[in-house]
Amino acid sequence: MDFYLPIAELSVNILVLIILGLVVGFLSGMFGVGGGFLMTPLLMLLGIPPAVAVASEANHILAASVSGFLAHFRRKNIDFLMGFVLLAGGILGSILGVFLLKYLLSTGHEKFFISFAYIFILIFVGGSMLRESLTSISNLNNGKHKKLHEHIWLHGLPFKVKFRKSHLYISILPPIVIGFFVGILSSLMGVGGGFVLVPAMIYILGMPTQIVIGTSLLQIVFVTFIATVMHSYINQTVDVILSSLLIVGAVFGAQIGSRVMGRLKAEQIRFLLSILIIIVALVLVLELLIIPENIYSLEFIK
Amino acid sequence: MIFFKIIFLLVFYLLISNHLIAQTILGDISNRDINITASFKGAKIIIYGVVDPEIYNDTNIYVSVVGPKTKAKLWKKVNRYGLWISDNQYININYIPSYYAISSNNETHNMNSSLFKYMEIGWSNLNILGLENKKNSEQYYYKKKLEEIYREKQLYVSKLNQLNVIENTLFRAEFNLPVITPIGNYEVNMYLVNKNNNKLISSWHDNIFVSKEGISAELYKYSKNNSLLYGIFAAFGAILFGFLASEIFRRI
Repeated sequence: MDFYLPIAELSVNILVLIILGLVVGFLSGMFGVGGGFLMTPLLMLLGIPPAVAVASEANHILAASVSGFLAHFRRKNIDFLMGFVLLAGGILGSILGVFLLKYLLSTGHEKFFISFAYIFILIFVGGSMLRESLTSISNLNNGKHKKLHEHIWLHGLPFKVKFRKSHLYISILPPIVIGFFVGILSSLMGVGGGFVLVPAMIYILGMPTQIVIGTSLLQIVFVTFIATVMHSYINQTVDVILSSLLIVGAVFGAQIGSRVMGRLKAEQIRFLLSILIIIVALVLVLELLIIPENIYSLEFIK
Repeated sequence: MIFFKIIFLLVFYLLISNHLIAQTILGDISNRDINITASFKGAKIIIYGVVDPEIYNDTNIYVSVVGPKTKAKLWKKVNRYGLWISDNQYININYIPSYYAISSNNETHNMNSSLFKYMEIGWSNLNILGLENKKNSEQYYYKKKLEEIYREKQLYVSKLNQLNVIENTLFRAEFNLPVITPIGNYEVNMYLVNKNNNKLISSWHDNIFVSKEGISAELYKYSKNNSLLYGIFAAFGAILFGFLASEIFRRI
């Protein structure tokens, strides 16, 4: 059954969109990532214009992450203080990101830069997560126990604050800087940034995995709320029919995902997420390695 | 339906046959208003025509549909560090029809004469602005590339030599509009050309209007006219959806 999308200006199969939403929503609830890094390329594959895909994605992720956030909220898996510190950095970063994007657009190299940055970050994040989670799993099996967290130079920084929920007493500077970089990425690439935020919170800040996911979703709710409104206001590229169809699948997927997550060990979640990120990166690289059938493509300008 | 249309055209033809000598080609369109609704799956344009049978044997008939003019960017992928990506290599097209369809009855279509260029009949004769500063060979190359892209998107339909003319007088051209049909005004043209000297004998023109209808039209308009409110509604709608799903799941 086909449905015409008024902003994307083409018809797509409803079932395809609902299933896509369900799968990505499931991953979102399970790993605390928005799923934008997965969904945006898939939507473009369906023929939806990139600008519409990115903007409608933000709206869809908003619904999925609200659903996931509430599920984690009931399990008291959220560090609100940490979430808001990250968000403060995130807002600054996303503003800088908008200007950075404007500069890149003026040089004409934005597509090149974004493709490369995307692949580089995915491989780096996925690779380091995979290595770490495998070591943890093997340590666990050997009966070795890791310390709650190790002391590194980050803990010598000033402005220390107690993050009770995360069992941390650290400076607020690292979370602000992390939020800042994730904010830049969100603006540049049209993603919520969860796939960077989640590993950063686990490895750099040393937060417990279960708390990281709910807290990451809190940040994603805010980022995608702002993105939805701004994309609608400035570019008029949010297709609510498209996002609604994705949402139907996603909200349920997110609930199922958060339940499955509750049954898994932290190391297993990290291992699975790293595999997912690496697969996406490899698919993207493979697509760029193949000599294109038609090296020309046309973009209509309204 | 089509049967009645042919009967109608026959009567129509008998009534005006005296005038045909002056006019020599006339047409009609099955549907001048095409509405893109929520269940839009593309549309079919049927164009009926009638030609003076006495001169038919000396003529070629061309039927074309030209979509609304638009601007575009023709991107070229380049190989950087072994990866094929879009960098800053593109051509700005300032003027190109967003859809083009052509049908004709003739076998040997010599469409290089000045008439075809002047009337812009046939893909290679379309006036595409943005390429005019390029060398002739490059213009030809880029037009060919554009043609390939248009064909793939079903925005270019070529039915040269596929127009069936019944009894040397009645004919019908059918074109499909794809799901990505751009909205706006489509020109429908018929040309009757002398086979021997490639001179225009007569032509006929009409329009088709493609517009959005119903909920998709309302949403589209609202997103353009009240973009801030549209964004706020979209955002709160998503939050409500997420909240409802979470509540439903808590209970089951």
